[in-house]
Amino acid sequence: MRVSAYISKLQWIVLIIVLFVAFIILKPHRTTKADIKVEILNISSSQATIAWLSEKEYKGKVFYESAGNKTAPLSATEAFGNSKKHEVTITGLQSSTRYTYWLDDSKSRFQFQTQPATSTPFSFLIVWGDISDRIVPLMRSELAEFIISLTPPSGQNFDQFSDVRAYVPIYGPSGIDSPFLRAVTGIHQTDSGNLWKLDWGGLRLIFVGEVADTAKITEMLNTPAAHTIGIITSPAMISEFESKKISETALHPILVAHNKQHPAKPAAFVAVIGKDSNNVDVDGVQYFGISSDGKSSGAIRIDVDIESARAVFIDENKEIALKQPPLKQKRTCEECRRLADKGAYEESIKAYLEFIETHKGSYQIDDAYYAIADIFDSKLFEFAKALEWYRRLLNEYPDGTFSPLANQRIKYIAVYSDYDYKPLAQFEHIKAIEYARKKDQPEERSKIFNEVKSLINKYPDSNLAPVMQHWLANQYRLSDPDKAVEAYMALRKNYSGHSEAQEAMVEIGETYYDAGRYKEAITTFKQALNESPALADTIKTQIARAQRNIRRDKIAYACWIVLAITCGIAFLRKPRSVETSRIFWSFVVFVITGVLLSFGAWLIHEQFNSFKEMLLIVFFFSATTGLSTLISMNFTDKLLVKNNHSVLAAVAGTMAGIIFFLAGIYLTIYYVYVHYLIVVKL
Amino acid sequence: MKTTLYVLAIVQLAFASTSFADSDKKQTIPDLAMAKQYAKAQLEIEKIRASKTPDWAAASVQFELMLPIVKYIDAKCEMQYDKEIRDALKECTAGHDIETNDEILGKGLQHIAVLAIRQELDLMAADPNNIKPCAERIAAYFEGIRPTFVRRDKGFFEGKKTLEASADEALTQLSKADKSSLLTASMQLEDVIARTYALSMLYEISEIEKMRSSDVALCDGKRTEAKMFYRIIQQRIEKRSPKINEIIVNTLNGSYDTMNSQSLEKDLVTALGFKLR
Repeated sequence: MRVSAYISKLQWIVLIIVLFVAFIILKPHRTTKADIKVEILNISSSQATIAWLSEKEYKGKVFYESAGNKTAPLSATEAFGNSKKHEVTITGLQSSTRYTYWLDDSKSRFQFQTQPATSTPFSFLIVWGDISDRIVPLMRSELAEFIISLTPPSGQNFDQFSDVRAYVPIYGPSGIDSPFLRAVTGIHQTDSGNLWKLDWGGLRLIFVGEVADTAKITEMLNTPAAHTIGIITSPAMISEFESKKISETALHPILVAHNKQHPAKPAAFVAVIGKDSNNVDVDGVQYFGISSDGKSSGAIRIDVDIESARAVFIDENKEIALKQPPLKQKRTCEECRRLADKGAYEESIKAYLEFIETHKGSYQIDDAYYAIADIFDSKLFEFAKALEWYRRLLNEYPDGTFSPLANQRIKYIAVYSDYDYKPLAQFEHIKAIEYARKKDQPEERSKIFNEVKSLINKYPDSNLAPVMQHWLANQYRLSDPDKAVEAYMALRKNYSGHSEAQEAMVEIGETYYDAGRYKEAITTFKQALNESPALADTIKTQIARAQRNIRRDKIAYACWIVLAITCGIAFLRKPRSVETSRIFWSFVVFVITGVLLSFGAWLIHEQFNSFKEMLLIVFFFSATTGLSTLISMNFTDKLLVKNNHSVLAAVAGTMAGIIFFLAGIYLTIYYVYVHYLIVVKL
Repeated sequence: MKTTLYVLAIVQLAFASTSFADSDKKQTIPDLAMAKQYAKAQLEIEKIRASKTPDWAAASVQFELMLPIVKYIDAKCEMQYDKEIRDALKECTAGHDIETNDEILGKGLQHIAVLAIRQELDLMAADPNNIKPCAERIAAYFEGIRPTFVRRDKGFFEGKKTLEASADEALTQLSKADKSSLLTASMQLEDVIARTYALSMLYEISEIEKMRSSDVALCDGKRTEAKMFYRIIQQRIEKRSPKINEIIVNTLNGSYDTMNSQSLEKDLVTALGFKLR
């Protein structure tokens, strides 16, 4: 009894030990001290510093290559000797370029992007709270070039940025947020002493602590390179979001004074950590709050461009403009546009001119300039005036969003400006007005084509002549293939070497193809193959299609012959009688097949182009089935009479019926909708 | 007692109906078979569209096979591609404005595939356990859009497998990725997709530059194609630079004579932050 009691106690002890060991092994691994992984310590436009810790001492090496370009990778080695703390600086990089890198012989690949040039747009994230489960998706979706974390490192039980440190530098309100530096120096965060700056592309971010020296703030505001300055501060500096209260703070007058002196490099925004997410514009400086109260998490993306900056509150779907172009608002003239839409072009231009006069200098009105230029250009065909307005647009709004279009139009008009724009004006008028209205009337269309021919004859040397000739050939193609071919040949002959004539042979081939003249199309395409080897793939495909269509036509002829032969043998060969019962049964087969096919067709009716097409297919398929039954029976009967071999006769009769059936089906598809033949690869 | 039982029954019914409604609203993540089916049908439709006289009935058949993914993406990304593509197919069948509607069909299906890939990347980032199955589905979706990469390689890189090879490498990295390297692989894939579709848009604009004087009808189709290609990368560009987005939108909506592929390329490079070629 005693022994069994001991054994029982021992069993309990063993069980407890086993459970304890299992708990140690299986408990979720969450270290209180973050694992030290690769991180980006510093990035500029031409260099990057990568840091990591290792268990063993060695000289660290980093391999890198431009992302997306498969060239031999370069390498950079750390400056000092063997160590467990590694810092490798890569130099000689290009700005705003993504690089892939890896350590020594590691298989893990990471990427970083160098800082952009001052004029290049970029984005960064401001995050707070526990965003460990979101930081990787945020990096992917928001394309941030660096992150500012408002949660102090001491407030984190684990490193929530461990998955992204290898890609972007992380900063906090007091300086760089780096586990590597913490491990190396033993301090939680670099302390830049209440006031420090971060330069990134065209942005200077100034972090202003509670007891920052205002004289030093003024010094930091002076930046030769940045086009935008932002301040990140705390409620100690800005306690209330009310214009008067803000104006009375120590910070605001400094910013206003700077903006007066340097309007091209303004202090555009002040982000106040720990305030509610309100915002207010005071004297052109946008103040907004970031409610990082420690209880919730959140993220803001700041987009910075040379003319504008904005803050996008990702979770709230809210956006604040932090900096706007000099003429803040766009204004458009809806009434002016309505006049143009109605065709009152002169009136519309007058209205636009008045609009420009009353709004100039106050609003961005580049689209009014563009609208006037466009009316002169595409409606009134007064190209000299159009050019004048396009040029005014470029002069007064060189960075406007219509400037590239204006630029392009100027170049185009300039190419065809010979003969004082006369051929261009007449041709554009024909295309845009006369042809657009009358192209569906054959007689009028013919007159228009003759007009274009006369224009070409009048200005044979103009830059526009080959363009007009090509246009003419293309339009003939829609109605008269022979005239189209003639026009293409004229284009080849008179303007050989011109870009418009380069694919003329291919276009002739396509003209023949569209007209159903496949043999001529093949001949032309083969000639084009010799002349335009660059288009070999396209031409060969066209040849294959033409050959396919010829094949289809031949199969259709063959099917008619098969039908004629089987019908002839089945009905005309003696004995010529057809039993009424067979006709009846054939009719029954026709009806039953018709019902079944109708039901099936109704189920997939969306696949048919029209109800009529569906009906025709069902009817002729059913009729073919009924007739093939009759033919099969008659065929069998005639063979039996002749040979008396019932099995042979039955097989032969069935084969005849099947052959008739297949030929009938083919012809049905061929005449109803030939492209269904693609389904059976014909 | 009876009253209590009745109340309990009503409460249970209410819970049951709520959970049914919830489950009805939940979008089931497509499985690998559906992804493969989507890509296969997409390739079939591409073949049909490429023929001189396309077979719109056959294209409709293939589209039905793609519906689970189309509806999934419509729900997830608040799109209306189911309706848009059906309408486009109807118009093509009726012979109305085929140039334009054909492009809505083809490029719309590509956009859906890219959105599906992005959804899978989000799932991967949310849970490392999803990495392998998501990588397989991404590879399946990619097969449907691979021809675009091949065409751009032909047009811009003289047939050298630049874009296609980058994409394949990114897919390989994704399949092997773990939590620490997932971001690299997913950024690689997104970059090559952005690059390919930016080049695709440029290609259509350069085609318009060639044809604008002679064939405006074809230009309409090219414009639609360019707009659809831009839809795929627009969100990324608009985030980076609203101004460049506005320039591109103005250009795509403007007169054919104002289109300039070289100027657009510079804007795309600035907005995307990397060279296209």
